[in-house]
Amino acid sequence: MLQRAVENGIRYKKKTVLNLLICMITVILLNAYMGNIAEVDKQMEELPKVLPVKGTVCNLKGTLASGLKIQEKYVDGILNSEYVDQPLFSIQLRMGNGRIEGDDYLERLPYYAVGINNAAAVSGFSEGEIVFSGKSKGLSEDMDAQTFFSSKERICVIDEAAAKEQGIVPGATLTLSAYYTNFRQDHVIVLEPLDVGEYTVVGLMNIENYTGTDTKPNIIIPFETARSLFYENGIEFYASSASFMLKNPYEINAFKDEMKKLQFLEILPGAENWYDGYGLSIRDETFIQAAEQLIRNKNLLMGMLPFLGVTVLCIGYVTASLLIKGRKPEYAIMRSLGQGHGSSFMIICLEYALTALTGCVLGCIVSAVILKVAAEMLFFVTDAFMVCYFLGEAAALWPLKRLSVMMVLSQND
Amino acid sequence: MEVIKVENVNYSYKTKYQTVHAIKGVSCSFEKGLLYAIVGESGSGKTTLLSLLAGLDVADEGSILVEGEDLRKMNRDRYRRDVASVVYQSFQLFPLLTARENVMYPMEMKKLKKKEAVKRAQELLLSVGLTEKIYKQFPLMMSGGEQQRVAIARALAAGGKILLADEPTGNLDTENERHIVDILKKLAHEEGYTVIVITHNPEVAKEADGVYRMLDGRLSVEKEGKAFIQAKEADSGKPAVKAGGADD
Repeated sequence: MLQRAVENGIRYKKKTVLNLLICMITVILLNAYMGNIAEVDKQMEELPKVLPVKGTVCNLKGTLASGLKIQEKYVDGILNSEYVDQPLFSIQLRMGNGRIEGDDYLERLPYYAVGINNAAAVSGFSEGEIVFSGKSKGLSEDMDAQTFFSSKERICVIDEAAAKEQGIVPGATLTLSAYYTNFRQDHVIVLEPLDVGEYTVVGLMNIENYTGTDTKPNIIIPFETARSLFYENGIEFYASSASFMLKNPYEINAFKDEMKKLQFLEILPGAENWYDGYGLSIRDETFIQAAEQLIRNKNLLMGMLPFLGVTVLCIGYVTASLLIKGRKPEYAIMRSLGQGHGSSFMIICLEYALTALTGCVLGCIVSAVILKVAAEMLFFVTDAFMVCYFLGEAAALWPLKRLSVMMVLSQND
Repeated sequence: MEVIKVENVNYSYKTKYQTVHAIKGVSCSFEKGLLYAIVGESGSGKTTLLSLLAGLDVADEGSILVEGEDLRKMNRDRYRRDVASVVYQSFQLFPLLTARENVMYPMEMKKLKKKEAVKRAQELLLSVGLTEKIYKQFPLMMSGGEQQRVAIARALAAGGKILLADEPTGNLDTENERHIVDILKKLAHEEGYTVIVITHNPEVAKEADGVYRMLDGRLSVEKEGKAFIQAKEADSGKPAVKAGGADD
């Protein structure tokens, strides 16, 4: 049967070539169409990288994003959320040399210290601007940014200019008094003593392009070290700023639900302008707009797919109808000679299907070379094309079943 | 020996506007080794009867027995492949197969080895008077007479012993008509085929051993030749009643 179908295909050269070309062009167009869908998918996949969604904890009015009082439950909530990527925290402290006593303590706090978990938590600062001093006294390993920021030790990096002014060299041990900002319930803000302790200077830094709104820090300590100062001294811990990126912005709704459970609130422009940090600002408008546009595009393209299927089906139907037009007597002769209906039908069907498959394969090769269509897409298009084409072809050839052999063959031409 | 027995067969088909009762209570029989002609006006039901005899259609009522077996219960594709072949007025050869390939087709359907099929096809073409130069010619390159001979050779290739022909000389000139009738006669009388020919042509009917006439779906015996009568008698064991119009 297969051999007969192939032989027939070769005998009807012109029709075969025409059918083959139609199929080939159809498959190339299908691949181009599916390539568009793949391109939209790729854009959707890359959108979070191109338009990342950033979340920032701010006060309820939305006017402050640093120097806040962000309760520990919010900090831990963000840190433990599976939706959050690159969380950045800071806690602002003031520091002075030695043990500070007396009412003039404010004048003896030359250091604006900040506890951070990543260099990016300070605007305009990068890890590259820290020069670690290698193996420091009392520390078991060579220091690098990752080790430093994840440490709970009393270590610090000091501003190059401040170090020079104070005569501090890397590796030195400093006794520092730390003060924290107490946001009192009566809306009075006071600096209060937090801790006195010895810190090892593990490196120097030079923040050249500081873009923060607060005073440029001149001492940096690890965030967890700063947190432990609060614990050790029995003072309620809070963070001064918190921001993060969303791991998968398409899960923004689930993330927002989680944050609601944590009791974060959306920004209320009419709210009181105070320092409590439980407002959550998420810059997702651009992302949502772009994602919605892409989703609309994809839906449109996907929505047209059934019509494309019907179009291919029609191509199969019309092509087979035209091809069989002059060949009904041939089918009738086969039947007259005792070829079963099924095998007669299959010989013709197979002939066209093989031609279509050949055209499809050629179309896929051209698509792969010119349109750079991925292999899995080519397989998908081939399968879809062949199914639709075959259905159309079968529909066109089906009336052969009811063909009156004698009526066809008795006609005197 | 009775090869085909038609018993009270009725057949009708529907057109867009009406139901046509094409065959009405037809009964007849066909003997081995005889040439039959079925004559009648256009639309009288001749071709429909041939279609029923070829197993291309099935009678609504009555039965067609082929060597005692009901055609309705047989695998009719196999019947056409192995027992009965049909030759048409317009030859109906595969247009893109050569003469030899056309003759080989039924043999290839039976999975005969190609070498053997080629040899047999050439023998058959030779037996119907076609020479080697025709083997590789396509139907459109041949004359009508040659095409019909190829069609007969193809019918013989199946190996069955019943040959049904629908106006086999209708498209031929007198000379070719003579050749085809000779071939059909030879097949019946020398090789034992049962040959049933639908024809308008009185010359063809004259050569037949028995002639049936179809009129408005009904069949009557028009001519009983000597061989026809002898065969009937041999079957029944008593002399057959002679119908009017016999000339032998």
